[in-house]
Amino acid sequence: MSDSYDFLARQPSAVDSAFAVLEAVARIGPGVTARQLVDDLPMSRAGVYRVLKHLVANEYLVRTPDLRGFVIGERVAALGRVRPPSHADEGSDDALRVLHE
Amino acid sequence: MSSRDRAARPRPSLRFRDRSVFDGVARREVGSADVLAHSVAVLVPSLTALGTGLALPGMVGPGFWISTLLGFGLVWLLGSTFGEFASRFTSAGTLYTFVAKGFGPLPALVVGGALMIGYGAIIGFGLTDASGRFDAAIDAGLPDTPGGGLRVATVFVACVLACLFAMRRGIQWTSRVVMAVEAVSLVVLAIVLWTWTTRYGLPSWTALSLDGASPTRILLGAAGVVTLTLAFESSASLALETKRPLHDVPWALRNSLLVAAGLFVLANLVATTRPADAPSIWSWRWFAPGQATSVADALVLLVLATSLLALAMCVWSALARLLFSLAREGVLPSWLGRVDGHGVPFAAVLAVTPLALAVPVGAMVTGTDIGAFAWQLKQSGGVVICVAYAAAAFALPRFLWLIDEISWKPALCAGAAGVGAVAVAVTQLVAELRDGTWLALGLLAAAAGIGQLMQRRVRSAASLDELYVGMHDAAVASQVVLGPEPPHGAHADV
Repeated sequence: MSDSYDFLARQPSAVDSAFAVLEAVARIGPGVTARQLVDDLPMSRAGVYRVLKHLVANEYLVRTPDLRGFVIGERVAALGRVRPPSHADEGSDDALRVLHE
Repeated sequence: MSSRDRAARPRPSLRFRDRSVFDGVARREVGSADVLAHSVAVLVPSLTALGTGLALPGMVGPGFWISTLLGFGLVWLLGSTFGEFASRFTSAGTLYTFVAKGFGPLPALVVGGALMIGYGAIIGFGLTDASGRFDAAIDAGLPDTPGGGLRVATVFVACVLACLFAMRRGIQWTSRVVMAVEAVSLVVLAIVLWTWTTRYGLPSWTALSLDGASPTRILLGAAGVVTLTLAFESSASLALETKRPLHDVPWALRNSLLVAAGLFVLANLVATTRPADAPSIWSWRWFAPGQATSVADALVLLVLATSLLALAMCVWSALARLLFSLAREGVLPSWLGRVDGHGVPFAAVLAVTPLALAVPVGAMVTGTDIGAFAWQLKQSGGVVICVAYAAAAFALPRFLWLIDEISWKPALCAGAAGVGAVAVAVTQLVAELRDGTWLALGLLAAAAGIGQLMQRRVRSAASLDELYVGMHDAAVASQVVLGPEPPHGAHADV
């Protein structure tokens, strides 16, 4: 069941909207409310709510304990943690080096 | 809310705990299919289709399909309303937590009491009816087998033990068993409906005619349809154990209703071709009408009995999780909040057992037929659950206002759902009082009494910090990114 892709991912603008919301939350700061996001973003209210709902459901955003605000979720931070190259990768790097030489 | 009022509101709290209040429960054990299976199991679509689904056209007459649409339409509104809550926070308390978020502690505790009674009645009904159908299956397939009360009692005890065994294994095991049971029951339903269609022919468009329709019977039929879906929202109690609860629970609520409604409509239409002089639907002979013995019908009864067992087990799981949630909040004794090595709140599961046994004990005490008592208890318990539905529906607009996310569409749906739930509750209550039955009133009073008792415990708590009625599973510090320098006042609790 491909639930992860049921949010209009086929439409590039939807992806842009999701990134716009994430960036707005990061820029305005933790605890930003839905109302503040609606005021800040050039999107319809329904659009902001739809994106928020999807991002929260997938834990890219997390609600504050009182449910009134939003915070960037750890899942977003995990995107920035690059996996160090493994020995298998080092092997292919050596092959590439030989080809160049 | 005006911008001035908004500006006067405190900033959202950034106090994230280090650990969840519901620590210990098995996390991310079940997916959307499992939650859907739970919700479908509680709806017992095969059972309702082969019973009331086939009987409704005869009961309501012309316009029966409006009863079905209205009934499931109302339940859809309720499901959408509950989905608004479930898409915003994770909890195990279902309607109790929903009402707490909107209306605060006392109404929530009364709803908690209502759920204990309503869910308890459904568990008792499920186990009793399952035992009855297992017994009927033996009569239909193996007529020479010695029967009687002892056989039914033995089957009943076996059903209780089977539920306990399954729940002890963990929620993933339970949900997979339920999924398999419902898959088989849907196949059986399809075969029965196909057999009826080949026997009696395809329904015609005249079945949808409204000539001679009675609005009263249509509305009563709609109320009856709603009572077939009671406790469908109980799958929300699995949220703590679900992989993506904020998506999976609302999704399961919506789609389970679609499955049940579609099958019910199919059964309605198939039943319109049945001749008036055909044997009664309640004779439980779908393949061999009028026959005393039928191996095929015995198998159908066996499958339906298993479905009822799944219903009992799912609602049992939900009630146990409600008790677990109340215990973790400090409202109920702390031992109910313990979990075992599988992350199952098994102490709470065991605590529900006396409620499961209430039906046979109650039948013995009142000297009534156990099947009739179980049915009456379910109907009366349904009034209590409908009142809880109304409370949760009316709580949504206030909850959305409190978190400043109010909009007209969910508020309108919630209002309509609440009014509908009240109408169903009143309809059922009036029908009972006309029959001289005071059970529903008694159960409502009992729910209020349980709520009051819990309220006293809340008020007598040593410290208000120890209690938080209607707790949800808030995010913990490790799940959020507050930035390198959290703003003033924002920190994780140690």
